[in-house]
Amino acid sequence: MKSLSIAATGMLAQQRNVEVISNNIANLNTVGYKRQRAEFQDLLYQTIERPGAISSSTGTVTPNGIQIGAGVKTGSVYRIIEQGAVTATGNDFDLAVSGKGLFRIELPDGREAYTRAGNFAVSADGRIVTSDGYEVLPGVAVPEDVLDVSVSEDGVVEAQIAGQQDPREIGRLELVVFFNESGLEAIGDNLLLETPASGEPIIGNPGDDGFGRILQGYLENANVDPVQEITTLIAAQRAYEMNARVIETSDEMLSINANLRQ
Amino acid sequence: MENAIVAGLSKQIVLTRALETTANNVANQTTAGFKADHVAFAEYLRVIDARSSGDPLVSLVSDPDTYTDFGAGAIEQTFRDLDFAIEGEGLFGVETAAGVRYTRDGRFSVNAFGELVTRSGELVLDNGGSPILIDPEAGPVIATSEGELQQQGASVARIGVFAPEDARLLRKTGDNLFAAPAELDAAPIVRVRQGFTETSNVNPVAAMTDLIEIMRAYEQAAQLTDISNNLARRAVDTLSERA
Repeated sequence: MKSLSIAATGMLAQQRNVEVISNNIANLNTVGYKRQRAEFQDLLYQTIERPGAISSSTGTVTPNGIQIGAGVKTGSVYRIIEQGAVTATGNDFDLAVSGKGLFRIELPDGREAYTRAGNFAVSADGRIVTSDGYEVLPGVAVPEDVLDVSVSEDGVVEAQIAGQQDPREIGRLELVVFFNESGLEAIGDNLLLETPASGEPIIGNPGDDGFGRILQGYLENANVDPVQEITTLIAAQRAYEMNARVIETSDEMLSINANLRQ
Repeated sequence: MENAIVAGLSKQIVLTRALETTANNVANQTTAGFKADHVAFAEYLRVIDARSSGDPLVSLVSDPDTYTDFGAGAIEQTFRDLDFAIEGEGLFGVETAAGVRYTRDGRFSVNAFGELVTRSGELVLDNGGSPILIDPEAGPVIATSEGELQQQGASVARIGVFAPEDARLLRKTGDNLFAAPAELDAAPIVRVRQGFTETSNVNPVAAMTDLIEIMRAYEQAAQLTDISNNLARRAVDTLSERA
């Protein structure tokens, strides 16, 4: 009975849905996290009689035909690039991007990764690094005798050095944007990698046209809305139950068949 | 007697198909832009005994049709710039390897070349049937209610909404797509809502009651077979006793 496997695809899809929702909820407090959404598509159809087929010798056509669907599949799990709210932290190296753009991070293996999580720090050798110690590109060296570091909206990093009157420019942070930011590949630790789907990174200065501004002393929260996640969770659970009911019904119908000849 | 068995069997076959259709609806209750299918039953008449009045003695059940309910699904707000829902009739056009297909699922995105695509990566067409190019550096896309896409106040394209004359001739091909017998013309007047998506139009309550109905009807058909079977057995028993 095909309805068993059709309902099974429905249960699998809802299971995937719940997995995505639980990951969103788990990352409710992850800096710069972008929520994901499972999106479904119907599976193939078996056409038993094509709509418009000729059904009699006088040339009448069937208006609808017979098509039986094979269930549902997870078409994509889509990352929703939407600005998260920002929280003030007062920390000099906490940077949030307001608008489009990601920070560039150098991975230990030399590859470039991208992130919205701007909870940076200064390493022992005076570089601005992520919380995992990866350097933020293009690389800013913070002098040893620094009193205060300020980052402007357009990414210019200035240091107030002890014994000097004016702050000195020590570097400028860059941002990247992508044609299709949702197409980036997440590798964990709030990091994303370029893929053929995302397109080439376009590097620019914060505040330029099409790039966001940098807010010093702020962090971007996850853009997860708990209420929305919970309502989606409830809907997914009910849908799962209904698919289970279909399996139950198919099973009962099969048992009717089995008991036909007593 | 065999007729009763055959009649019951024909009903069971059709009910199995109805269950498959309902199962597919239930499985797709969270699929955006999905349109529910239903099975239309028909009495299939056949004259069995021509010696009597010529009236049909046995009527079997057949299922000449599954039909798609093109009623609108609920419109759900998603707050995404590239999610679109059509108000009223019509479908979005999509360029696939197999030709132009149509969909009510308006969850689009931009690919690596700046083209507007569906989640499967197929090109979304404008009202002239060509792909839509979005400049990622020109800021957010604003859509008017007539489906005109604008960036920084300048018109980029007009999203194509195609209306079939007879929706019944559309055939589902999976991936939320429909195929039409011939390429459709763009509808002149459309209403498109940006930041919304159309949910599945499957009614879960109706699907659950359908399930119960199908199962009970299946039971009855099985009983019919059972009773005919018993009658045949009794006839054999009774006749063999006489002998």
